[in-house]
Amino acid sequence: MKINLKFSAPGKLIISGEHAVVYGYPALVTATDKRLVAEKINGKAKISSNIPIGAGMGSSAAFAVAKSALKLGKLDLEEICSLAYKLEKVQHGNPSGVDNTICTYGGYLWYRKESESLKTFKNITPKRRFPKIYLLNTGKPEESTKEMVTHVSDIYRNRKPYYDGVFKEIEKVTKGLLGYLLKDNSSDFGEMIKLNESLLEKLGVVSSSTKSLIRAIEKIGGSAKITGAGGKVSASGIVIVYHSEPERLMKLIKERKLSISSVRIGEEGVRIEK
Amino acid sequence: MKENKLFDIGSSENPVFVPSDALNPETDEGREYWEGIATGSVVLPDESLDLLLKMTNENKS
Repeated sequence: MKINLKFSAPGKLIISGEHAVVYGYPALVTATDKRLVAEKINGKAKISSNIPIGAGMGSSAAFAVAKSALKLGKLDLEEICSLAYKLEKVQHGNPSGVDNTICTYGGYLWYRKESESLKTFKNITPKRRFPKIYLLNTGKPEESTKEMVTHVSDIYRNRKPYYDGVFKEIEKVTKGLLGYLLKDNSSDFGEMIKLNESLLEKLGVVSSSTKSLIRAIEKIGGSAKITGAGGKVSASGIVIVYHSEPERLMKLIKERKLSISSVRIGEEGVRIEK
Repeated sequence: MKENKLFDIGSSENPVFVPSDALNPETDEGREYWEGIATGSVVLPDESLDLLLKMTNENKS
C-alpha cells in the first residue's frame, strides 16, 4: 500500500465575541489540538477526525482546508486558504472567511464585520499563551442554535441601547483577552472569562443548570464561560473552564460526575503529517 | 460531507446564497449552519438574516 500524501487541519474555538460578532463587534478565535486528517491512499481520499461535529468547532472548515491541501499537494498556505474558502462558499453560501483562515494559519485570529462588504481579519502573533483551559460539555441544547440567534436578534431589536451596551462590554473583554496575548495589559485571564460569561448571561443564552454549574466552578476559585451559541432551556453546549489550581476543579468534576477534557489552543494550522 | 443545495435570498443585484440546511435548524447540519452565524463563521447582510429568520419561522409553523 502506497501512502502518497497526508495533511491535517485543526478545529477552532471561539474564545470571546459569540453573538456580539453578528452585530459588528469583534471576536477572538483560536485553533485547537483537535484535528482532521485527510490522506490519499492509492488515489483515494481517507478522512479521520477527532473534532466534534456540530459543536461549532470548525469541523467543516478543517475538512475544507485539509481537502484543499490534499488537492494542491503542497503546503502553500495562501492557496490552501483561498481554495478552502471556495469550498466553504459552495457548502455554506456566505462564509465570513474566519474558519478557513484559522484552520489554515492556526494560532489566534481577530475578526470583525466592519460593514456588509468589509471584514477585518488579523492573525495574532502572541507574546504569551493563555493558561491551560478545559472543555466541559453541558450537553446538546434543547433549542436549536437558530432559536438562540432569533432570541438575541429579538432582544437586541427591542432594547437596542441596552444591548449595545452589553455588546460594548463584550468587546472590552475580547480586547482584554487580545491584550493578554500581546502582553499589552496585566488583565487576569480568569476574571475576563468570568466577566464574559456574566455578559453572555445578560443576553439570556445560558441555561439555569449551566449557570448553576458555572457558579459552583467560580465558588472554588475557577471561571467558565459558554463558547458558541449557548442554550437557555436545559443544556448550553460546550463551556470553557479555567482554574489556576486544576486539581480543585477536577475534584468538583468528579463529585458531580461530569466529563471534562483538556484542550490546547493557539495550535498549528494546516500541516503535513508523516 | 454531503453536497449542500444553495438558494438565493438576496436580490438580482446582490445575491445572497444560503444552504437548504438553514431551513432545517433542528438537524445537525442546520444546527452547525446557525452556530456559524452566532460565532461569525457565516455572515449575512442584516436584511438577509431577518428574511432567513422569517422563512425558518414560517417553515416551522
